[in-house]
Amino acid sequence: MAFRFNFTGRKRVLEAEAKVHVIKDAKPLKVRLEQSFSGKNIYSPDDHVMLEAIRRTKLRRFDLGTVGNLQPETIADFPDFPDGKEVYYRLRIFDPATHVLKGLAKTLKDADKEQKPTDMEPLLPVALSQPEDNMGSLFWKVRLDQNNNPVLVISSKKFNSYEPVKSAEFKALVQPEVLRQVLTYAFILSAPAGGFPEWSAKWRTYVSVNLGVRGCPESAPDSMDESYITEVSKWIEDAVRAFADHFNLSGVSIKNLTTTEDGNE
Amino acid sequence: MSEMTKVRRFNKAGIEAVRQLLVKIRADNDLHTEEAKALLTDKLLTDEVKNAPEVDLERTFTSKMDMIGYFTPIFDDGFMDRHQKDAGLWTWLAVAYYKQFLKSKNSIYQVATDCCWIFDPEEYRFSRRHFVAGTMYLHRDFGHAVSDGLEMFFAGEPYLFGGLLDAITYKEEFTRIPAMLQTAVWLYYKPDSAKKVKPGAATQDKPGTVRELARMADQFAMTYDIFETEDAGKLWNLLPAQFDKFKGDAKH
Repeated sequence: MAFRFNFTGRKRVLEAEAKVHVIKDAKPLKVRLEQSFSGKNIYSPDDHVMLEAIRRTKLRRFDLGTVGNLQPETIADFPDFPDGKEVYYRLRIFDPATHVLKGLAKTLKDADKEQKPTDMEPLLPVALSQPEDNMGSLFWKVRLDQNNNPVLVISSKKFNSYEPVKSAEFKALVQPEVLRQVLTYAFILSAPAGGFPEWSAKWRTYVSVNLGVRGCPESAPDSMDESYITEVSKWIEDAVRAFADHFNLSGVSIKNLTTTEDGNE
Repeated sequence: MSEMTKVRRFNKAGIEAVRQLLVKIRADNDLHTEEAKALLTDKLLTDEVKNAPEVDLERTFTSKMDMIGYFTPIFDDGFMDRHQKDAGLWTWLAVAYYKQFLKSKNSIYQVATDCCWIFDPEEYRFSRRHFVAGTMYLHRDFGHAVSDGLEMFFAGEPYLFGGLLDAITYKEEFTRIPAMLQTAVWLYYKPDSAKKVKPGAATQDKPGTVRELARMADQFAMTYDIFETEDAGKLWNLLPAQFDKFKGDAKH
């Protein structure tokens, strides 16, 4: 049986309470932490504060001292990082006697960096399966839940790169069904659970703007009836068909499975 | 006899050629030695590397640790930092020593998946498994955390990516916490054995194994702040009873 540590009452440090500013042109990496969380009475003045810079498997820490002595602004040096490229930050507040975490900002990014299009979150991230995905013999599945963006999960047993996901064959055979599952979850299955998920707005925009299919419900119905399900199911079918047309999926030929227009393999 | 050669990097076409070479080796069960050798210097498929170090292409590695020992003085910290995302360079190195990364079973070459040869720096799950880059970067990062017992992670043949290393590196969080790595060494290292690991340490679905320790890493990091190697004793004392089998009588 897996061992679980008990929940400890850890608080989330909000981005607005802890901002990291990477100091321009400083090499190696130097950042300015602007903070307001130390004024909160949920922390003891003796609690310790640590700022972490993380890039992949590399993590380096800067000791900011105690909550009681923490200034609104502090400069932190990370000599092991040549610059701030691909680095994110984590802030930890903990009881120095027990080492129990009392506050945490899990992912802080450079507050001055504009989000470039390449940094934007994709509509459908792809991830390799983890044991808890319980893939069994499945090649793929969609991880769906109310609070997190949908994720296309591909079996780590079957795939050793993301390249196949980008292939025309994968797009033709899998993606229409992915779209159907996501829209069905967002606009039908989750509707009785107190409204559409927050992430559904991006998908609504995608279907209406990119695929040009109107008719998406603006809000969850007060009561789920058959006419709602019929209407939304039709909209989903239209969206899936428009998706296939948009990417010209009928033009994809799949070895040993499809025939050419003249009927030959 | 040594054959000192300046390290080069594959370009996009070169990487595709490597992919095709792997397909051929798998299909023909043939090393395609001449083709592989020619790839390394093909001007259309490879580029020069600025201030490239020289490597001995005839060097045979007796183990993964031997390979690390050979490359460490050649690839200094600056080189490692500069080329951390250099897919072409690390792929070139894997091909340069490719015969040593092929396991032969009943006269059939077992060619590992492409990510072990073709370095994908964008995806940690794949990059950690690269024969050269994965090994060298993990060794460098682990070396910051633990001094004794590093051989536990890199024991065996150069092509091996054992269950213990797989479990520890599956999630990045584990590898970032020196106290966690030190605890793993205390729990599972057996210096006097050939595999350098206690029997059963990496078994699936058994209590107290490295896989269970790895599963705990994320949750541990969200609950406690025990980070430095010298604080690993605190983590040691927090481990639940199912780890007693591997703890033995040791005290830390």
